[in-house]
Amino acid sequence: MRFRRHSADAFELCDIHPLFAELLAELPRAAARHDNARARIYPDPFVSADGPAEASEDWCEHVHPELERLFAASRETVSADLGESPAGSTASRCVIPRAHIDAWLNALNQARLVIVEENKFGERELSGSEPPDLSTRRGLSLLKIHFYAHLQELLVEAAG
Amino acid sequence: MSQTGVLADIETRDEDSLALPWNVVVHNDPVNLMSYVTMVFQRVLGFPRDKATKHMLEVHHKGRSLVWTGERERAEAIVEQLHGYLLLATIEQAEM
Repeated sequence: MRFRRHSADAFELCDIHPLFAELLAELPRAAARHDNARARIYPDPFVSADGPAEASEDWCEHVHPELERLFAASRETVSADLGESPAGSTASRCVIPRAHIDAWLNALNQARLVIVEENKFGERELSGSEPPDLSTRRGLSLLKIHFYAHLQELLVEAAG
Repeated sequence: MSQTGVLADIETRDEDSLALPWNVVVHNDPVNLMSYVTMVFQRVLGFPRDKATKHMLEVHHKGRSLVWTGERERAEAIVEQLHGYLLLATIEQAEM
């Protein structure tokens, strides 16, 4: 897989291996499984404060809906970019407009957080240098996290 | 002490408590990438790159970094933005 400038306003992932094209196509769905990682994706900012419980309740009532809208909009942007790729959602290339980089970073982070929570991956496993065992679902999930992290690194650099 | 005196004491302490600044603290998590956290600190907090990197490394090595101190309303706005980037951030009232 290569990541390169497509035009002045867009980047392109091309020559994507079919396995990684599948992982890319799965990104919006994986990112949407918030029920499996709700406490991490919508953390209570007052958890360590001695403030009143109402502060946490107000936060849930007023801030969480805003965050949900932001996260959903990011996933929709990514879905549209994937859907607009020339040969469909498992295409070997995908064009990412510069203006969509933030949405991609957000969706990638949502997906990584969800997958980590679903599999209860710890820091040691996530930062291990051993290649994941692809004969297991857990190994495939770890590969997915690393692949999404690689895309994030590319996009952070592009956003810079 | 008279009843009035007790009330006055409570009110004074409440005002002191409200006047205390609030800290925005970012916590380590195994998912967010170092480059991503640095980028978010630059964007949300307006840190220059070297300061953003310093705080990112503090989060990474010490588990947490105090990134902003000030009035509660602004602290909440910053935390909301950090949560929008999926960073693990909390608000703590500063010690007297």
